[in-house]
Amino acid sequence: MTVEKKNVERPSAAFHAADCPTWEIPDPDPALILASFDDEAVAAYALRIRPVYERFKRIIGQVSGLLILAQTAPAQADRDQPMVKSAREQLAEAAEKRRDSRAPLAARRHADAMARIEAQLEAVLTTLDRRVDLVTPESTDLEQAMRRLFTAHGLLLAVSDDRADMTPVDFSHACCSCGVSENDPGTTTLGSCAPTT
Amino acid sequence: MANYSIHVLEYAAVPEYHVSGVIYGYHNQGYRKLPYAYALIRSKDHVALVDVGYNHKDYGKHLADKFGVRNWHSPHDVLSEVGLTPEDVDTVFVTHAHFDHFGSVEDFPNATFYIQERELAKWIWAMSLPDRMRWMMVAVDPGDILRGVDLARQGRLVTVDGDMQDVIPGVDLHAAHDSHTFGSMWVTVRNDGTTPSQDTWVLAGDLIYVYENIEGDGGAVGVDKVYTPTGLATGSQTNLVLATEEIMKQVDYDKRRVIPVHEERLKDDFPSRNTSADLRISEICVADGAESQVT
Repeated sequence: MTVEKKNVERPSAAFHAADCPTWEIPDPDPALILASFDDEAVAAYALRIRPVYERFKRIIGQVSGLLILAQTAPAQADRDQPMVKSAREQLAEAAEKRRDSRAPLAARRHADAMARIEAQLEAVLTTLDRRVDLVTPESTDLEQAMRRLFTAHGLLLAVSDDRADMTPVDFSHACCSCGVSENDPGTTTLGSCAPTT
Repeated sequence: MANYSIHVLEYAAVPEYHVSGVIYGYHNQGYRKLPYAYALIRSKDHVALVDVGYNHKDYGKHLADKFGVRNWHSPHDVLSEVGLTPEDVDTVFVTHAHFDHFGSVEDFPNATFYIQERELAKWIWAMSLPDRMRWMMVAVDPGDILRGVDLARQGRLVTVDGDMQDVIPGVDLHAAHDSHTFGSMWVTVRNDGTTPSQDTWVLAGDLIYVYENIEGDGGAVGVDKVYTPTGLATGSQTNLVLATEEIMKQVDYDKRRVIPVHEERLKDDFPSRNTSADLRISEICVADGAESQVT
């Protein structure tokens, strides 16, 4: 079974069918099949992998921010080097958790995508460890680092699923977090000021 | 002499937003409409925006389903109501990096974006912290930061360290560190081009959501009005109050000269109209020789 693209505004599935073409490319293709969260093994995997997802998401942001500062602000070794070191340590920790996540068959493609995100981030961080040109707009090093980050981010969007609390942005305390849900107008969301009933 | 026309352009809204989210301490006071909007600053030489809205492509449906954000329209649709296209925009001031202010950067191919260096540097730091400190990176989309890399490579992202005068003639940036966010800023338009100006407007970003942030009820402390900061401060409410005082000084304490884009009651103070898509356009001022966009 496939879902028509036109009916889906953004990918919302965490676990897609083994033959889903999404996994072969980093494009967040919405033609997806959901694995059921009724499957206990899938739900348990989701719990184990969520912190990894969260960390990968943040490393994408950290490295992107470093690349911006490299191009727009004076270099500051005391600012930049600890950030790179920290990102590398976090990636190593997340990689270990990912390897221990024990994906069931239904989540195999999800796990494969997570591994691919990790590989892309590992490659970018290796680049940052070397003395390469990340400043000149025409730099092939910069272009490659960006391509890897966009690939990682595309995969991140593809594996996002709000049912498993894997969302690209944490809206829980954001400017919109107190709105009444369109789908359930009788309730508010779980923002900082939601009723504590 | 007015060099710039200024308009507030609504692009979406949360119809029922918890009041305590926008005014610190206003608990159990119900809901009100919270418009999402950007501000347009336009002269014969420049088209500038203050913020650019959120990335509807990536999570618009999620925002609608989970948080009740409604009636989103693209920058193309919104700007067409005032006779512009996104391609006409040459300057964007990003008051802070929250998803609803820094999201739609790809829609403005000819614009140069300005953001505080501290805003980026501190978000990077926040993203490096353990999960238990995740609150500090709330509402920031790593995808927005990633798209910022591409802007920087194209030479269209400028990181600003503190205040900056005459970014375009008569338009200044002012930093408000550790307030709503780590590196928020507000935009001041000296519309007569002079310093000091007799015709100053402040586009406040999220430093001031609504009028109560400037004129809150001071009964509890025995005064008529007090600054009552917004509900969300990654920095501190103290710094929000201090920034509000600086803003008010700039406009000689004339509340009407401070423009909070999330304030629905702008329509009561300024000529406004609703488009066929039910999006409000508020006309803050009109440049000499320019036409009204609301009458």
